[in-house]
Amino acid sequence: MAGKYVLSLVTAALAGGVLTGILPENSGGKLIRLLCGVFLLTAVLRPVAALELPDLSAWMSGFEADAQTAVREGEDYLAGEKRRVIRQRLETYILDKAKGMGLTLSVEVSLTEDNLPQSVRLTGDYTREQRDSLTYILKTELGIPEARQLWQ
Amino acid sequence: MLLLLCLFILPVSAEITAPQVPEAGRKLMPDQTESFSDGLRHILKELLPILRPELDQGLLTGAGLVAVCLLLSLVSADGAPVGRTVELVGAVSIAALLLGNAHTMIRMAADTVTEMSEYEKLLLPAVTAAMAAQGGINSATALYAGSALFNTVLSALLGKLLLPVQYLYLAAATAGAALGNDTLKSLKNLLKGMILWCMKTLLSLFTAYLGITGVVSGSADAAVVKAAKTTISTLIPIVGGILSDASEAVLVGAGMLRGAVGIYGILAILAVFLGPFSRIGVQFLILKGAGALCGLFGGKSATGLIDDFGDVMRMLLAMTGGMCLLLLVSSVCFLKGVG
Repeated sequence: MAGKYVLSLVTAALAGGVLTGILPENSGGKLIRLLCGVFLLTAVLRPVAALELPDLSAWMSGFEADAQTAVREGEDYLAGEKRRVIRQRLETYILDKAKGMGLTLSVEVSLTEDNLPQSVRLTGDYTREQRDSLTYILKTELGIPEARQLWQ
Repeated sequence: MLLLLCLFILPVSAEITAPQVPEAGRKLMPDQTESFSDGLRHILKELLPILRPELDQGLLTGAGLVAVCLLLSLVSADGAPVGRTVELVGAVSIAALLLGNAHTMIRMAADTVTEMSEYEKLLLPAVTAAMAAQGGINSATALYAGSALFNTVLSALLGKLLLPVQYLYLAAATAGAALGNDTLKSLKNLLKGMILWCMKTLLSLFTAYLGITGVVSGSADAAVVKAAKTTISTLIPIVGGILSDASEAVLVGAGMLRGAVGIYGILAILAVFLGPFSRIGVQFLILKGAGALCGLFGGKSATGLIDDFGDVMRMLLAMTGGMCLLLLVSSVCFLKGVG
């Protein structure tokens, strides 16, 4: 495309140069020289006229959509990490309380959509008294009712 | 105590990571990217051996230029004005010495701009997600949109117009020196002015955009994050305490993640940019030095042509440097984060 453009420019310049070279120095010659100049200018500016300006608003919409996708990924990461850490800390809290009572348990907490403790599964060896104490703590301190505490 | 401390530190997630450095920057990229200053030191240390061959080649070319100008001055040493033929021969000799190298530098600049632009397109989603994870949703969206737009516009402008125009500049410079025609000087100055104006305007507009969006959206994000923290702490005491501490720890972890991704991205951009930039810089300095030496005894047109080739190197430095600056400013804004 660039080659064609250069060729058209050179051809226009040559044609104009030859024509102005053979023309006499009268008013008719001056007019033709002027027209040759206009013709050369047209050849130079033709690609500019054919230029299509990019649609900036379409670009911006596209970029904003991409930004929203990336932001959603960040929000999902944040939500996932928060949930993981809250579950981890609740389980650690329960394990600490159990250890204080001489219990060795494995604990699995499940959370509501608002990241509040919903239910808990406790697995291990325990006496009735130990179970009742820990059940009371889970109910009063963590808000997990007895019905949602699964002891195994 | 150690266990308690560990509760406040979160490992960096594997889910949001900076994209791998492109092939062009792999040689300079440090293995450890935790510390920016150490990473930069590593890049600069690896850069020097790369420049040595360029310097040797450049000095040879510079010596060749000085030899040509010396010969030209000997031909006209008897006080007679330098003939048209001698000027033509001088221009052709200098162009023959320098055109091949100039073409290599222009191609290298074009490839560097493309590599940096493509890498930024991969980096932006990662830093945006990391910033959003820290609560900077409005800022991240605005920064992404602005950075992507200016990156696209500048790389298209450089790749499709300003870099190819260098050839036109060199053609005008060589023709002007060969024909002794000063009318082409206006064309050269126009091209140079256009390139520098485009770079300055775009970078100024981008900096202004970042400044405004940073103030407007950053304040909004900081207010939202603060409100969320207050809300959490008024819930059930024990559970509320755990939720609040967990949120704080996750935000700290997200901040570290954003920092890690941002620093890696900045080092990767520098690793891609500094090699070619330094090589073009060496060429620029050698041409300027040769031009200054030749100016002592060489003809005006020959010295002017060498300076014109030096100006092309300067414009390449401005263009690649401008592109790098835009990307670094964008990355630093993401690093700055919320509040």
